[in-house]
Amino acid sequence: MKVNLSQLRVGEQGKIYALNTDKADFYRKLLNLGFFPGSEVKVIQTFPTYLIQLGFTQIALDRKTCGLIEVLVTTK
Amino acid sequence: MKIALVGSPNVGKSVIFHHLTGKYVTVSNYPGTTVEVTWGQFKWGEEKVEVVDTPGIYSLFPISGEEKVTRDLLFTEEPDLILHIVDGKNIQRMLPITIQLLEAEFRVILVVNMMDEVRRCGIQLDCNKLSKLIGIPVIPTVSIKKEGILELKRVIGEWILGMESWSNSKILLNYPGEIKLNIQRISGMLRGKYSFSNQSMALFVLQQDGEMLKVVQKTENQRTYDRINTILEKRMTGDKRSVAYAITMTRQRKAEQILAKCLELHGAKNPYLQRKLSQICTRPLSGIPIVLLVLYFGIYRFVGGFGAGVVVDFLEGVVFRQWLNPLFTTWVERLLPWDSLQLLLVGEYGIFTLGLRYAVAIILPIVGTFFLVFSILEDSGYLPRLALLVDRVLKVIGLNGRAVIPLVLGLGCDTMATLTTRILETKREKVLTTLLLALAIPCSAQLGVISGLLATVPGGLIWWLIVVGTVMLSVGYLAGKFLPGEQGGFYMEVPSLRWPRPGNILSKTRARIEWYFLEILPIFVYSSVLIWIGQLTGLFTRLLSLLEPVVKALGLPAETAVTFLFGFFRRDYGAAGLFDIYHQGILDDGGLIVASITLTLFVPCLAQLAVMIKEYGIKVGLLITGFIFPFAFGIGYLVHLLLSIL
Ligand SMILES: Nc1nc2c(ncn2[C@@H]2O[C@H](COP(=O)(O)OP(=O)(O)OP(=O)(O)O)[C@@H](O)[C@H]2O)c(=O)[nH]1
Ligand SMILES: [Mg+2]
Repeated sequence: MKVNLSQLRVGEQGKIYALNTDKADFYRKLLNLGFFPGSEVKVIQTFPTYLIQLGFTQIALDRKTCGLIEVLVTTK
Repeated sequence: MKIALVGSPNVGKSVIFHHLTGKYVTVSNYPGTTVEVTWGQFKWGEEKVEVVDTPGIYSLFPISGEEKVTRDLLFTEEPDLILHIVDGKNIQRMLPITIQLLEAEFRVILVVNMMDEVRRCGIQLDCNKLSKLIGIPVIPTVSIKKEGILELKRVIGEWILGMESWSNSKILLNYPGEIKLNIQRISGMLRGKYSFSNQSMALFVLQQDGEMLKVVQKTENQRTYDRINTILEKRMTGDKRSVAYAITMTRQRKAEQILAKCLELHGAKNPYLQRKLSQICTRPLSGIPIVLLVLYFGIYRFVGGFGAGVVVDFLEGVVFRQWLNPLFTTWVERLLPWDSLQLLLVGEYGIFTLGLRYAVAIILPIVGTFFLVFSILEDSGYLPRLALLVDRVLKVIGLNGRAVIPLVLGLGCDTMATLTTRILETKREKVLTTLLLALAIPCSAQLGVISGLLATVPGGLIWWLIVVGTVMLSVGYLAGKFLPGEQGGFYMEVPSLRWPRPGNILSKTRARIEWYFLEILPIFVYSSVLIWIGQLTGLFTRLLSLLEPVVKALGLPAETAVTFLFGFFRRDYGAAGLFDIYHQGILDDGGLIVASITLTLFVPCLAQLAVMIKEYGIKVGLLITGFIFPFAFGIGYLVHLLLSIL
């Protein structure tokens, strides 16, 4: 199932599918932070801001940015 | 001979720089600590080796200001050797930078740092095998324990001896068809000599890196440049994003291929305590009380109560006023029987009786205690968590969580913090943050003096907090509405919580105090001299008489005019002046509140103005100052009116 990262709940996991931004610089930044198709993410916290586990780091993202990241839900 | 330390943010570059050169640069546990390059050196036999520490980068293609600093350095200085420092836990994400550096044909040593955390996370990395696979030395280190540093130095030494025969093996990257073809076309056309290889220049050009395009335009002849543009326009079917995607993923997949052969995960989690503590800081229900506790104990009790209270009272009230000043005054009067010289050294605004006393007895204890608390916060990794917590609040004033770093740094010194606005994404955020730093964020000296003094006035601190807070929010809100540009998204890496290391806390606090003291002392001395000249020529009293009506309008005694004049030289100088005036007993409670608020908002000091101009140009600097000057007095006047009505 494909959803935006902002639609996942705490504890849910997904595989990045696409980045839906047309700002080239921001797109690049997200790629370089490790949000590229295939990376696995897990939501640690959603309020007041999203906290995402990505490999061995955690990255804080706001809701808007999470809404740009499309993931395949992989939670069992 | 030049060696550059390069790598992603917060991986330990500055710690390793310290081990190599013995020179201390600020080390903290958040991305974006280093925003400027620092040079140091060490000796290897006869050879003098220059080493440079750089701001962290996410890729060789820079997006934010501090990344640009690093790329510019690599491009203009052409280092002979690069130490690429990575965080072993996240090597998957960082190895692509090694690949980029090798593509640019730098000589590279890969330093895999944080091996302690690598082991704790259950990652097994075979560095020997990795070294064979990418054809460069790979050295595992735990820089904070000095593990692997000797080996690193040995390998650097070997490189110095055998520099001629050193060659990197080429890493073959298989870019998708169109890109590959155009890399060949463009790199074949380039005739100029660049510090990066032609392949790597071609890659920048294909990604339409504005700066590199300019460099190429300047270096190549018009025909070549036109041909390159034709390629960009006609021969590339993808847009900027898809090109960036293809290039990044090619490197990424290559890195994964390599790591598949030398890295094994055994899936351990972070220790329980660390996870829990981190949650406590980032969840609002526990996070907000923590912010308040930190403010209350860290700032109010320790900096305001202990630093600005106990220590200042002793140093200023006892050491200077009772012992040193009388002693020195008698000596000077005996040895130098000239009135005007006495005035310069031990007069009311004398170098010794005022300048030195302010610097040593008032500013130093406050700034020292503040930096101590602040270092602990920085080293634990608390700041990124705070950023996450207040992101939404900052959005209201047109900023986002990232701005926490410069804003909180501003509580230490606004001048230093203005430089750190580089880590922000857009010009709009930078200018907005710079404005708030200049207007509403008190520096540590102001904070210490003001919270110390206002604590003695019932309701004083509340008034101050409410007025300054409201000003910050409303000016931020309005400026956010009017400044052009879009609001940027918030993203920030949140590093592991780490126990602050007492060694680093002390070195950092010491380094900052030293830097601070050397920065302010001359200014305090010059100010004394200037005032002295002013006194002799009568200019000083004229200037004061110009300011006097202004302060009188605020309901303040005429003597406070001097304090505002001081405040313009340096924020902290003004704070010390306020302390002085208050102790002369000429300020009533209302006056203290008005003066504290106005001084907090009042113009950025000269040093801060200089940095503002340096970073954002004379127009922005003057506009901000021109706005703040009348605004601060206006608010002061309003508060005065309100207080006299109530
Ligand atoms: N556990 C562990 N922590 C380390 C190691 N090396 C550095 N650190 C910590 O990592 C944090 C970042 O270190 P810095 O040297 O400031 O990192 P930097 O790469 O200069 O960071 P920027 O200047 O922000 O790019 C500090 O809190 C260090 O104490 C290591 O080997 N192990
Ligand atoms: Mg650093």
